[in-house]
Amino acid sequence: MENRKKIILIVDDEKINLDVVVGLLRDHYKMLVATNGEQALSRATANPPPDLILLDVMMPDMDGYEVCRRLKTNPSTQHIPVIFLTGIMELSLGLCGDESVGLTLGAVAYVHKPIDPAILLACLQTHLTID
Amino acid sequence: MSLLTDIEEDAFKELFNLSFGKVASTLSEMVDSEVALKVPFFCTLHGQSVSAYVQSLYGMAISLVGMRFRFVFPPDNAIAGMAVLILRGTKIGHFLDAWYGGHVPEETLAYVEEEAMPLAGDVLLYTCTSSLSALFGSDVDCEKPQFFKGTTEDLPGFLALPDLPGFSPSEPQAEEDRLLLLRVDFSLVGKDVDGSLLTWMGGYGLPRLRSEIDHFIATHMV
Repeated sequence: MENRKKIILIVDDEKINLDVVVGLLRDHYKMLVATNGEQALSRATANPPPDLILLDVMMPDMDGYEVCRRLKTNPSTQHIPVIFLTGIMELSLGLCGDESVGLTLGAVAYVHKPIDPAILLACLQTHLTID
Repeated sequence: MSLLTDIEEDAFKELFNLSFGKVASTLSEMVDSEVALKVPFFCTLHGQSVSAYVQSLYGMAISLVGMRFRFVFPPDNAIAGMAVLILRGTKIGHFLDAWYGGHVPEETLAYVEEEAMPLAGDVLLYTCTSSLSALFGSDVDCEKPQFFKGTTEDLPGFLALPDLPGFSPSEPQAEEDRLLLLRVDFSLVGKDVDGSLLTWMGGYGLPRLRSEIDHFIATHMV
């Protein structure tokens, strides 16, 4: 059985969001960070690749949906589970569509910001186990 | 004896006010809250008194972000300074909550504080020093902001002004060991966060600054 720490790639343009998620997960997982879509696509093809990607929806230049679309059309990254991170306000104001948009693109779940640590950890555990 | 006349002191505070107006606007966007400013305060003090001054404002246990900077007046004149952002100790969590847009989980607070505060300093202190340098007509060279958490006993080294390699720091005068210190206290309306922005510069830079202040008075205050 594989014992290595799983690798999580967190993608967010807001430094404080990255810090909160890394602070929550660094004892459990090896963390990679990216602050924009281009970096995310590059980090996703690293060796070893991330086991799961936490992806912010609202980012400048390339939003999370476009990043997900590209990940899912690249044979070397299409197997990596993607969980979208989005603010409740962004969803309720319709700034990033509803959750069906990301799920249709191939994401496995949404986690809402501000993040509830128990929900994030449970969600990761579930999707890493399924994987 | 004051190093500045009353009108020069008013002009100096007004320059700082203009600069902190930009900081307040940036801070307001960052935390999505109105920023209430108090009237700027100016004083001169000896270099070794800064940590005692900070302690008199915020007590012995301190968390702050400091950024050393140099105002550079080509070809070879420069003034060293320090810009500091202090939030009242128990309010840092509230500040991070406001910036994050939710509650930063307790178990991550220390990590987030250490990681995020230098960035807050980078954004806010750089805004302050760059706008001041524009008003003084100088270039500005800023070091990376550093986060300090501890007691004021460990502060003096942290708060020391940077060196000025390759520059002549104006003509040394009696006020060489004096610092010109400006402070603005602020609060975030409705967020239970308050703190101060402080900037101090070597008193040896006064002749150079005075000419810039006099120019400001001539063009804006007459």
